[in-house]
Amino acid sequence: MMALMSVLDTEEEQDKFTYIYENYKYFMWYLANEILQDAHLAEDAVQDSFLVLTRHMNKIEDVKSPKTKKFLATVVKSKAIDILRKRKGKTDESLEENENVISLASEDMLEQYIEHDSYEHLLSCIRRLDDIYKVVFEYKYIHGLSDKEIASVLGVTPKTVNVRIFRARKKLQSMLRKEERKNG
Amino acid sequence: MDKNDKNERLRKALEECLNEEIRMVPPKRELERRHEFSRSFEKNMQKMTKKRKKKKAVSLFIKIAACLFLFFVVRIVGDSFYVKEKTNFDNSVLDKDSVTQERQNNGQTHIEIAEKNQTKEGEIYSPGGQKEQDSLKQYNQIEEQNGTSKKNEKTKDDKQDTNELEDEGEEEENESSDENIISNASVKDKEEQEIVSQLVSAVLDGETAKITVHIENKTEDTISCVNENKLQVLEDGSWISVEAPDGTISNEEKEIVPGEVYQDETVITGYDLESGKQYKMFIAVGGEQKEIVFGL
Repeated sequence: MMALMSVLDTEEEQDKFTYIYENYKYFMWYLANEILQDAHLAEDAVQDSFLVLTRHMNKIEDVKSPKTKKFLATVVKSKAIDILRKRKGKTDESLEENENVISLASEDMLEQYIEHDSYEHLLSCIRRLDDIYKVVFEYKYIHGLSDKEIASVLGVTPKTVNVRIFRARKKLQSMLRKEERKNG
Repeated sequence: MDKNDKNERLRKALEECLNEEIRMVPPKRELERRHEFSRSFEKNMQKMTKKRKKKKAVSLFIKIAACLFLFFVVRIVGDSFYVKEKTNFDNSVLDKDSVTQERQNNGQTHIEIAEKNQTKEGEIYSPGGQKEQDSLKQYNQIEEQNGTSKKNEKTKDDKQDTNELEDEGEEEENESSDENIISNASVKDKEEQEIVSQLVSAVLDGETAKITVHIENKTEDTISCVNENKLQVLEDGSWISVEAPDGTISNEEKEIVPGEVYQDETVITGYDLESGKQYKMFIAVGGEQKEIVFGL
């Protein structure tokens, strides 16, 4: 009984939700529009993000903090990417085919590259990294979410999240290797 | 550099990139000038906020219902304990009755004599035979064992005849059976006054699933029934929310009058449902959230 009660919404969460809607909807819309290049689809992405937030308000502590702003940015970007991928008819399976080449070609040496490459190289590669990989990295490393939590936010299975993180690591590793070769 | 340092370096780089992106976002005022949210967006967001408020009202209702439920549970448990105690007492009354019966057999002549004395001489009868005294002694012992010596004392003092004792026993027995009836009725009422929801069928046809749920309103009030537009899938033993921006779950609100049996048909489309998997949807019925688990 107590467990059931604890799951239910509190007034504090209600206030948080309203504050976020009133203060961040334009910010979220802009980020979504940058990815989708379509004002109406960007609105859809914002709406989807709020739908996710209704179920994950516990992950937001101080609504005015930069941490919250970063979290909202990641959520809306991930929702915009979802919409874009659905419109392009892309699935995880189609991505898998492309990424299998990378996974076969190399072992997970990302940590070595992170250690030896310059910080500037790392920044440059992250900037160029596909958004789909960037957001899973953001959820995992910046916001500290577990695979299960990321899965719940993205509406996919934890296994899919695991695969995406694996591919993201491989992709970043491949980019860092190329960067290293380019710079001698 | 250990693994944590490497992860920290990656985290720092990712955060710096995200901060760059955030810094690129123009101020709110400029964005307000640049973009006006569509009516449908505002309407949907209002719906979402209302839904949250509704959910909050439902939560308050659930809390009250939970308190009432606890109260009834405690009461029913209390009643059954009381009935049990009563039954023990009634057994003792039965023992008492057997003594009384014996007493009655032996003392019948005395009563007759007493009646005769009363009618003839107008005096009050006083028991005096040895057998009578023995049975009274035995009866008192039983009463003392059952902690009802107070009543017994009264009986003894009043010098009432055996018929009166018999009546007393009967009354208590009747009282006890009344308590049983009341207690059973309250349980029956609780059982009867509920909302029954049961999955009838779940059929997947291409991308569309049709879920039929049997809902029976056994309460005395008209209740509303609406799908909560949420879908979960069972993955590795845990329920995961399924999100599909293009997906739809039919959620027409329906009112169910007391005693009505309603077949709710929910049509789910655009959720990439897979056969062989277990799904869960949520129906709000009369302020309660019913979880409907179905396999396709």
